[in-house]
Amino acid sequence: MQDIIIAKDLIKSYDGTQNVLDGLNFAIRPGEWTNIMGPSGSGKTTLLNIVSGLDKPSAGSIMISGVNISNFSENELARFRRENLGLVFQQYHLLPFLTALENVMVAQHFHSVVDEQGAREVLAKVGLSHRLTHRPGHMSGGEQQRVCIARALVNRPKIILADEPTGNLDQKNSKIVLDIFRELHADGHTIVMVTHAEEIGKMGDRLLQLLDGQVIADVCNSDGRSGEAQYCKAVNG
Amino acid sequence: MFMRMLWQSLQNRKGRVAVAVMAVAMGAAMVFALGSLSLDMNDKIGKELRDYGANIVLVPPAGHSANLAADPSFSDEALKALDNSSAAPYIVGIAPYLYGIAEIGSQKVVVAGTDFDKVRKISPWWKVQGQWAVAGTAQSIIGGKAAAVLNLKVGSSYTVQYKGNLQTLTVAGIVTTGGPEDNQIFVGLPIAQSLLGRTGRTGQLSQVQISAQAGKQPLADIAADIEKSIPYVKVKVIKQIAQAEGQMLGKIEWLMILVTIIILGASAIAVMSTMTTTVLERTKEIGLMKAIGAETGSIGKLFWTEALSIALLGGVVGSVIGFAVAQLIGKSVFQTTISFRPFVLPVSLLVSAMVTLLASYIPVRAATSVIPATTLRGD
Repeated sequence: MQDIIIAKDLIKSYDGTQNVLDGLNFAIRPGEWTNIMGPSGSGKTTLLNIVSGLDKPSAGSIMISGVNISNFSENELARFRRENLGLVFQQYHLLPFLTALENVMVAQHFHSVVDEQGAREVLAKVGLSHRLTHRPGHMSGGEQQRVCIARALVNRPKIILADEPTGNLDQKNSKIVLDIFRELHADGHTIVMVTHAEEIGKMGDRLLQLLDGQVIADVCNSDGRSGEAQYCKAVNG
Repeated sequence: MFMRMLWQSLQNRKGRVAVAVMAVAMGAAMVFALGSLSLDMNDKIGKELRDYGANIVLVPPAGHSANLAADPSFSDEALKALDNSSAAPYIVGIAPYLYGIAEIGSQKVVVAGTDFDKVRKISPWWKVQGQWAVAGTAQSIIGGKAAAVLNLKVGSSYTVQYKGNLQTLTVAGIVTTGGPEDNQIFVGLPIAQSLLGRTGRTGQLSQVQISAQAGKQPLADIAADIEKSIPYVKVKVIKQIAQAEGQMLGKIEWLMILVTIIILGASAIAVMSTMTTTVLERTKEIGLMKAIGAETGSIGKLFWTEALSIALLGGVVGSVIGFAVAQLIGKSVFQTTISFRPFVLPVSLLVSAMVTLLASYIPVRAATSVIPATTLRGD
């Protein structure tokens, strides 16, 4: 099966002297849940930003679904994101003046056409049918994160990129959110998640550990499901 | 969804939107008020200027003096001819005069026969102490300096003589103008014609002063029309007043344009400042919209539409305020109402839109240039 994400000799430097990413190479198979861990400043978020097309590499390339997005223009990247990627943020980043339903519909609006029923269904999927008309300011952190996930899912992307989605949540809400990710994984979504929490790191099929912009460990989780574990082995030889 | 986002965005920032709308309204109000005033100005200020005297004078042509070589004059048929001339619609007042030098006792004095009602209309600045003389009576108005020299007061009687003709008059009022009128005696035109022996078919008038409305038609054209209708008179444009009228109208128009430009500039700065603050406040929102797939054009469209909404709302509010301001100025300065000119409304809205969009250019550019990775970082 063709890799869905391929990073080749990825370098990122903001000041031209120090590389935040220093020649990264990895490949991710479709349907794989890959966690990225590492200490602060190791390049996790920078890597996720480059994979999501929010940032561009200084050198090297990033291929997603067979398309090299490294040299895309800003608008090409925006089009690519809305067609292929769902982004989940640690801080949720919901529009404060819109309701939960409207926040999800915004993603549809920028994608193509607004389908209110579709937005309601995806919010139901994350357990928020009863909070459709609430604004972010009137929702708990866990609920806001679920709206953020619903917004990421509404355009049916193949790949979900999540930057510490439980970083601001308590244990109970973290569990709810992680259960949703498990379901998404089970549905066949490819998930790339940046996390600090070791227990979450062990949760996916594979764990990439970064240090100083380099992959220092690429391990398959022993408790990963058999199918995903095979992908991992295949990638790592 | 776009309209919902726009509406919620405006609703959510009522304070800032209100500031921007008021800034635009201020500019639009000036455009509307000054536009309305400018269009009415030729009529209203022209009338004000005409109140400072006649701007055309009919005098006998050189060498044309009928049988009165010493006192050139012409027939009062000229007055009828004036009424029938193509210039008649532009004539707002006329005052006929017959001048002669008569004597009061041993003192020589200029006697001017005229129509008092008409003089009052075109020379409203005459300050008359006592009363204006009543036409058809032996009442007179005497210039202030002449009254002092002749020791005459309101109510005094005196006799004036011209080549053996005697006329007894009473002083109804004493006039002060600061001009030659202060040395003259004014009587009804028939009395002057009788006294000065000008009751024949010609020579009843020495001069006709005309106040013409020059806003729509150049004064020189009006004068030419009059000369064509009355070939036996010479038509003189009193250039000082005509030029003053034209120059003053031009200067006032320029002043209005300058004031409007300055206020529109101030509005633009206020709009730019408000829009810039709004964009800065919304940087994360913009970054988020881009992150979930909004293209630069979509962000620009949202902000341009916001700016246009502010412009139109401000334009409408400003036009209403501007019309009220125009009325206030019209009432207090010209003692008249200013007409509603429907044409000014779209001009006001268009100018508001242009100023707002121009002022929004830099903030909207800043909004479309937001880099999502930078703005969403630092959590």
